[in-house]
Amino acid sequence: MKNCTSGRCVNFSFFKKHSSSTAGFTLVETLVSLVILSVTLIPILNLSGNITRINASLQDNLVASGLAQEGVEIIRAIRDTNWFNNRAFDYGLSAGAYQVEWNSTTPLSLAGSLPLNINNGLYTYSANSGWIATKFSRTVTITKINAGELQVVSTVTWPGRGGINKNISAELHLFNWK
Amino acid sequence: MTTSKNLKLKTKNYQTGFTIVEVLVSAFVFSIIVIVVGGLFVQILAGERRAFASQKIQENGLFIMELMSREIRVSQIENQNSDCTAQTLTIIHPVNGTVIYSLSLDGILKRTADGVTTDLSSAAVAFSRLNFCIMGSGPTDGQQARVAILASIQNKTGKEIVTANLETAVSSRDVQTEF
Repeated sequence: MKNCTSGRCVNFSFFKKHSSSTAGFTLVETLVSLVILSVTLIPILNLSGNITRINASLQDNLVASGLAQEGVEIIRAIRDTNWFNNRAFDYGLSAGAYQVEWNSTTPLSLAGSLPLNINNGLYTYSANSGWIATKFSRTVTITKINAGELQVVSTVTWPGRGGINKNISAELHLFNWK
Repeated sequence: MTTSKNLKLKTKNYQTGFTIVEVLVSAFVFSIIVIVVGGLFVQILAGERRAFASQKIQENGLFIMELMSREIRVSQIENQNSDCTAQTLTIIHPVNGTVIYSLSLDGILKRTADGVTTDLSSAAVAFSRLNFCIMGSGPTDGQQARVAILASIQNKTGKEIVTANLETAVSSRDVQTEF
């Protein structure tokens, strides 16, 4: 079916074919496809949200590992101080569970799993005004392995997501080598 | 008559559009889905940014804590400050000489070794605090030297400010100074 006037030809059969192939989607088809799309999108977005939460918990790990390291370093400083003062290396470091602050010269007795408080960036057990409780609590456990060796384990515990406690430990073995 | 009626019916069947109610309902359903998914998406985007900021903070925090701890524990500590207000730390490293840690005005951690200053932290994060607690650094005080490093690190970009308050302590490995 061709219509040729003044040398130009228009093929009407082309138009006819075209118009019958553009029947389009029905409303129901469109809605169903939208629902399927959104249903598949939701788990993907959820996954992304999970990654965000995991990242936040990783930041807690970093803070806790610093605090755990502090726990064992303080006990080491006490051992060295004992040497400087001609005392036994384990003077004041009998087996047990303790808490320590950065400037402790002896391990402090453990008062439950007391959380550390923070003020101006410093973590201690001070309960004065201006000190804000953190979620981290630290326990330093000293075990006497033999007469010349102490095992020190510093554990930082904090409540993670869903009420599950998370913890990070640092372990140090101190010898009487001097 | 019959053929013309059939033809008319057929044509009518194919040419029927949506009614206004159908269009309104579909637009309503569509907008609800778009609002829910869009809201979720915006929320995820904000979370993504927070996670990215937190990641930068962690990278910098881990690096500076490790680097400073390693250098401090083998060095002789020059300052003494037991109330955690020291903003710089001067140490004498057996290999690297005099090393000074300080903070620039825009919150970048600087390390000065033998007069040469380098940046330790990236420009993507700002230190809102760098303090040192120093105890027992004197040669005759009968105490092993210990240094607590307090660092608060924040992100520089983004609407939400993420802060990490890091603290660790280092005890000197040198047991010769007070023998």
